[in-house]
Amino acid sequence: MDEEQSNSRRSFIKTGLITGAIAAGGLGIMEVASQDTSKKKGDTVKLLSPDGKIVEVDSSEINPQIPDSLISTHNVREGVPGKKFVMVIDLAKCKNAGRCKSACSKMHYLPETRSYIKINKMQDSDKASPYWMPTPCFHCDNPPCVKVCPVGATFKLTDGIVGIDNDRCIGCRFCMVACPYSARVFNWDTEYQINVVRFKEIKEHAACSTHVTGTVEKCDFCPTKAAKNELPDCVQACPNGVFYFGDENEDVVSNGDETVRLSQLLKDKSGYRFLEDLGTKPRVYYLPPVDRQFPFKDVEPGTT
Amino acid sequence: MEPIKIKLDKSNELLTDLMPRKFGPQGRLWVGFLLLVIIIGAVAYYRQLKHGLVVTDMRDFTSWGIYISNFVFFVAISLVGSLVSAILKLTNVAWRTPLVRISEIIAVAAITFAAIIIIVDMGRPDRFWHLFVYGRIQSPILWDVIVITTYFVVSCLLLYIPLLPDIAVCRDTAPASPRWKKRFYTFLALNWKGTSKQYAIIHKSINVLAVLVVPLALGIHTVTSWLFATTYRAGWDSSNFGPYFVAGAFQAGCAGVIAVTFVLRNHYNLRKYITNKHFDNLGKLLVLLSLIYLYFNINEYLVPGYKMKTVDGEHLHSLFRGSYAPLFWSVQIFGMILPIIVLLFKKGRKPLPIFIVSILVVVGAWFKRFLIVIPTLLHPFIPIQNVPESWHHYVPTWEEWAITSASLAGALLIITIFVRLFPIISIWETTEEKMNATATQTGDQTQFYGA
Amino acid sequence: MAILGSFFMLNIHNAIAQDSTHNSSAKIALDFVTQDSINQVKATVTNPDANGKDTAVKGADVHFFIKKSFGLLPIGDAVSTDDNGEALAEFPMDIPGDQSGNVTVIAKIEDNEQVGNLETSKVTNWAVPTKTDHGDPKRALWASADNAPIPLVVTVTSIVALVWGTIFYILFQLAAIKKAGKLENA
Repeated sequence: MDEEQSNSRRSFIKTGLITGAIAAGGLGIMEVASQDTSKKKGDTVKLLSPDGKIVEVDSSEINPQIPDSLISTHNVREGVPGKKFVMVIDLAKCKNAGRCKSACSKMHYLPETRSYIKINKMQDSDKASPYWMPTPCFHCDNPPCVKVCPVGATFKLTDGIVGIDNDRCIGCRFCMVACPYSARVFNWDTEYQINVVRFKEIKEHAACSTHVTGTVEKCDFCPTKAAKNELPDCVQACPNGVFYFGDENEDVVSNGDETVRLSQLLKDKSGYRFLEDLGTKPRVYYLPPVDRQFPFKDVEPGTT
Repeated sequence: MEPIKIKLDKSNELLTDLMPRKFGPQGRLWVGFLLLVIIIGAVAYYRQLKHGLVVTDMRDFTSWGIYISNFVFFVAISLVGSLVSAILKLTNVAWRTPLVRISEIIAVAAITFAAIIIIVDMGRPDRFWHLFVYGRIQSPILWDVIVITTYFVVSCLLLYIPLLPDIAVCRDTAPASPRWKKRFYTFLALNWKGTSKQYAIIHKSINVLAVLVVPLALGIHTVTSWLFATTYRAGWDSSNFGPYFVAGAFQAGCAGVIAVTFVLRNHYNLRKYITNKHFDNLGKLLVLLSLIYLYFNINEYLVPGYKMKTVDGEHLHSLFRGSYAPLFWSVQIFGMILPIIVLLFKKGRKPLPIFIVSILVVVGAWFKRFLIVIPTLLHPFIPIQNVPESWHHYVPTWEEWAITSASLAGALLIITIFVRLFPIISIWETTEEKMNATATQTGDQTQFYGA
Repeated sequence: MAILGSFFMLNIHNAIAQDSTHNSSAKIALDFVTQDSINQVKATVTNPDANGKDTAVKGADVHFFIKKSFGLLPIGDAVSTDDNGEALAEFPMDIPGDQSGNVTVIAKIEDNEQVGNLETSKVTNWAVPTKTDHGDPKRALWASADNAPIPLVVTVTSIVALVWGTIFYILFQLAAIKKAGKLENA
């Protein structure tokens, strides 16, 4: 691990010398990207691809166009008006296929080894069968992370999402220790920024995590997509329909194939929230791992 | 009240004994050593600024490491200022006089580096100003920023105000050259002439500050404990944490002041002023504080240990019998049990044994904070999985050790420089005490202490 | 398309969609009827005969949906059209709509032998109006800095004021010491 990191660091420095712009590193992608906005089409910029090669891309490729008028018309610290986003995860259907993780990594320009979703092997007692439990950020309604943030860098939107402002975060990591679900990850070094080859879709929404060295990030419920009534990438990518996403105000959630009443689903399948007794009021519900669709196999994700 | 007259000629043995002296070879070697440690720490911090916190061994699960435990240690040590200059004052403990200034400079040095080390821990130190622009009063970190700043200011005042008459002595006895020295003392002495009005003001100010600093000291360490206790984590989720931290802080601080006092007493030959009786009293105080801390430790470990709730149980198991057991039991035995046993005996309260015991307590206190911060983070509610093997452990890197050592060296350097510039035992208060002793003999009951 | 457009203009309540690949003139229309205080969604499926007269389509399976942000919520199972070409489904009374209780209902026929694919949609105000709280954001520990709980703000402010008031008093005393020394000089 250490060696890998120092390697990527070295190549980072090398690449940084070439691009100049990126070498400003640690100061946020957007500043870099916006510098490139002025460049005409046809100019090329050298960047480091996720597999460690230096690639040349057209500068128009990294022009962060913000096409979505919906995003700019409301305050990003207030969320999408009238919405209360909610997720339901059906543990009976999860077989640790790992697609949610890889889709998440892709959506958020994370290295393959890293994603905001974790698929945890859980076993409630010795005699019970183990099961897989995917954990995104729970976007709690009584969020311990937001409570402790000293600068309001993580905040609760009216649409239920717990957002992060990576330009404000001071990197104290109090939110990480406050979160009982270990949902938060930290940009320990510059590794993650340089994996961004295409900046195009990143940070259309300020609540969207961006990879700024020395700051915290986490699952953001893909607010850019949610605002456009599109399901988050993990929901769409899951081959087994484990994830349901929707709007609590509408009382409807969908996993892409099937659209159901939220209240009915939770009633019929005894939906629950993880560690309910902590009182954090998560916006992510679980359906218990009963009547499993797959036998439990302890395998690496992606091999099934 | 009569103003205190301090004779400024050679006949006053207080001046020859207590005035600051130039560093000898030993002193220069010591300062050189401290500077070397600080320089290495600065190099490590440069690397951390350049590469990010990746140079540490902190990762997503152990997201706080020895910077934070070192911070807690510094805050703990700093409480000694309030203990000696306020609590012992308000309870009319007369023997505290030669120890007041030592404990107050320890407090100032420790709280200064507590503030510095917390900035070192930040992922984005360049955004420190966000705390003032975007500060959320709901966050315990903001409470800590407020209370640390306040405690720092009050500690500086508690150091500075009782120092005024002695600064004036330095000013009045300083040779004509170098001129900066005379100017320096003149500037700091605030026209001190030793009039009864001036003495009245400083006595009143010290009394006000002594009352003010006690709740502040309790506040600073209680708020620091809340950085942990306001979370859900196993081992931190405890309503016992405030008093537990405060008790530990007084114990550590008392040991700190004993250790520093011992070194200064030997180095500057202060046996006349800091007697075996002082060490005997400090020893008794340390036993009392250790017993209180033992009581809180029993509360802190026995109660959850009795229940063994799932994650609490895993955490406690790692401390009692698991990978942290050697460190845990060393700290509990050498940092708490052994001091209690040794110091209960009169022979144990002689200067040398008490010095050794105090060093054990201080080192134990440092590692105790390590044990409070790190093992908890390795036992989250959802077991750590799907991460590189190294993320399951926390072994501080050389950069972390270097920066931490530099902060400790920095605190010691502040104390060293202070001793070089100012009398470490109050000349005017010692004079005053002597006057009172004479007055008492002649039947005058005037008492300044505890007045 | 022109015919379709004018038809839509005339029958503002009957939105129509057609599947041109199969039977270009088959129609599906949606109506909302209340019978015995039960709200029902009615789809009428017609197909023009040789004379161009609309005749009812029997036995076509109609699926009813309510349009939601992230998908179409089915209303019960598919219903076959009767002799009048009508299919009825009960409208769920407790479904939330927008602020005025409006929802869009969709009726769909898929891969039918007679009419192919048909779809239409229509808005009704039968749903439960959703209250969106546009009031002041709640004061809470997790709220923004501006919305900190009042008791917390009052407590912290008064403690800080008290302590720093004392500190400034002491600083003032320091000034007094300096002044007292100056007077002595004079």
